[in-house]
Amino acid sequence: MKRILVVDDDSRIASALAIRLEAAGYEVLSAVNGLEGLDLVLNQKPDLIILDIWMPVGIGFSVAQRLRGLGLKNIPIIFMTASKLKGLKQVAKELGAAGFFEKPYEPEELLRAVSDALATKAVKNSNLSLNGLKSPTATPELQHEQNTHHRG
Amino acid sequence: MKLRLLYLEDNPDDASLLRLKLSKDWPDSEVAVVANEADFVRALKDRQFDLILADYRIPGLGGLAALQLARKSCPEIPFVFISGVMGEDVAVEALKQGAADYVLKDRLARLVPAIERALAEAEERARRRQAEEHVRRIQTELEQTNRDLLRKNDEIQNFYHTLSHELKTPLTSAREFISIMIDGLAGPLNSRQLEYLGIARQSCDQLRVCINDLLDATRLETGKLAISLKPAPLSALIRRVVTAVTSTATEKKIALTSEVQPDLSEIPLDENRMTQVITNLLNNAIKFTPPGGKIVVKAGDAPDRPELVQVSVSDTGCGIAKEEQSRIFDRLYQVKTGDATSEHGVGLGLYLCRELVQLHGGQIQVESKPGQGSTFSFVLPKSEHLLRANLLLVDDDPQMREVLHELLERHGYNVQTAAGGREALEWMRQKTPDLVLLDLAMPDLDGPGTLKEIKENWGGVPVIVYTGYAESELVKQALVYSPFTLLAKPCPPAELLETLHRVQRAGDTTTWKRNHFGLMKPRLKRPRRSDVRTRKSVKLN
Repeated sequence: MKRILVVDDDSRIASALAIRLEAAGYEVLSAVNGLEGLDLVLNQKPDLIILDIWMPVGIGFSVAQRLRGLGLKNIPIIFMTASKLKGLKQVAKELGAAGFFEKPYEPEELLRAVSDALATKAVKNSNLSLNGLKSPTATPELQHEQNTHHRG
Repeated sequence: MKLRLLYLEDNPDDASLLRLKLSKDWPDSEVAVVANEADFVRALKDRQFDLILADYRIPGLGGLAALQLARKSCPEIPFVFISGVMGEDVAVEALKQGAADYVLKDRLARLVPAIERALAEAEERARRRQAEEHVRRIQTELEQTNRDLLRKNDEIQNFYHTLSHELKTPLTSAREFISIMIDGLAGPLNSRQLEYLGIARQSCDQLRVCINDLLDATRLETGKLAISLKPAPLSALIRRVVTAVTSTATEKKIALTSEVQPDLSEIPLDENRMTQVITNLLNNAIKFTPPGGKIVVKAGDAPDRPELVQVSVSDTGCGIAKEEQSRIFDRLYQVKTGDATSEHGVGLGLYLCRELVQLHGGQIQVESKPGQGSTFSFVLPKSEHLLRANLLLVDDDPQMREVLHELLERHGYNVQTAAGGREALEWMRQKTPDLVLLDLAMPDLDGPGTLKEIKENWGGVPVIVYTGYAESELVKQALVYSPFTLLAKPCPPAELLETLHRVQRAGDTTTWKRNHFGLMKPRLKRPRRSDVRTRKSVKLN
């Protein structure tokens, strides 16, 4: 069962998302701010993250940046925001977002984006393991993960 | 008036003679005599006098050196040479260096008139300095006000962003929980429950549109709504919008059809914003058309205007009374239907349509007969060239002209340059520009003169005067022909462009009035006529 982390400071939206995603057959973790979200990513290794942008502690973009910095590039992130500030979508794109949704979102579209992102990730991972067979060293991604343990 | 003189003179006899002469001609005068450089410098520091008299030949200190000392420490005090022998060439040199006059010792009868004239000129200079100070102060205030307004703009913008975020967050969870129930994730529902939840979800959607419109309106008001135009197929866009609203029309038993000219080429569009405009017009048509009615969307070349595309939405709805047609695009205006049960918007939808169409360089209008239906139609230019604002750049400095020309062309202006006032007016007569960027200090016809002509003959064309502080005398003259927008030179490109955009949208800033958010835009005080004096040329004889 694929594991999805929902990070949103509005607990009602988080639980609505959980109901929706669980009904679609996913396992759902939730966090109410960016820091808690980061902690869950490192400990629970979710397959995908749905990340609100404006949160009191650790805005979505900085969480995403931190994850990139930790080498966790291959966890797809779908951003969500109730804000209409210009340029948010562009920043999300530059951070390699798998999706960008304005609230209120259309549930069907969100579910489609989630399954598409997971499918793309699966294709990428299989390519990655093929590369891994050719080279005796660990994949860069794993190396980074080991580094983070040292840092932690 | 009591006259206090400082007299630099090493010959005590001459000093006494002058004292005697003055006490006769100007009884209320006081002469302080200094005989050497040290005393002269000390006296200059004290500044206890209205005029300086100096012998041209002071041992150890030349007359011109004394003049320079005085100019340096008290430039505002008139300086008159008094000398036994003074050649023409020396006298001219002295006047060039700032002496007010010179009097020969054997013609002392000229002394009093010379002093009177020097004092009058000094007074005139002081008045002019005051006026310049006044202009400089206005300019500084204007700049400060503009900065304050921009900050205020940002604050309003931030406030509405926060507000919309805070409104949408609970709206999102409300809508999603409703959807969860509709989708049966909370157990089975009967048809009546489903119907009611459907209505609740529609209300959520309506609220979302409202919040977005409110935010867009704020963006427009604060000049922050930017659209980006790219060539795009209008026909495909119309098809998408029609498809999206068809179900709503069908539900209400309204026949929705579209007639789009097949060979319609791509035109410059902001696709999101144009979608918003057409969706809004269609939703309005659906809202005000009774079941069984018809709505037709048309797009094609505008009649008699091959350079424009026309889009129209016609309905067979209740129509709009004649007196309301002119106001229907106004901000916050709501049509009075007399029907208490019909839905009302906040009155932003059509306002946004008009503004967005105008940002595309187009125009929107309505034709309607009450009881028979309405047609909303708008035209859009087919080429971006038609969209670019025509700007007349007037500057005598070729380098400045080139730099600005390049910058402005790059940022979407059709630039016509003129090297002086007369050339500028020549261009104005050939083609009226959308705005004028005007330098003040120019040969032939200067800035104020050009501004006068523009204001008299092309009053509606906004003018941005850009000028340095050094030209405050010219600014003062130009102020008579306000309103115009003042921009201090040198000015960073971003500020220049922002000012141009603002002026293009709002016209000359000096006529700004209270806007919808209760924000006072600056009203520049005209200087009193008495403050504005033309420069008096100082004669050298």
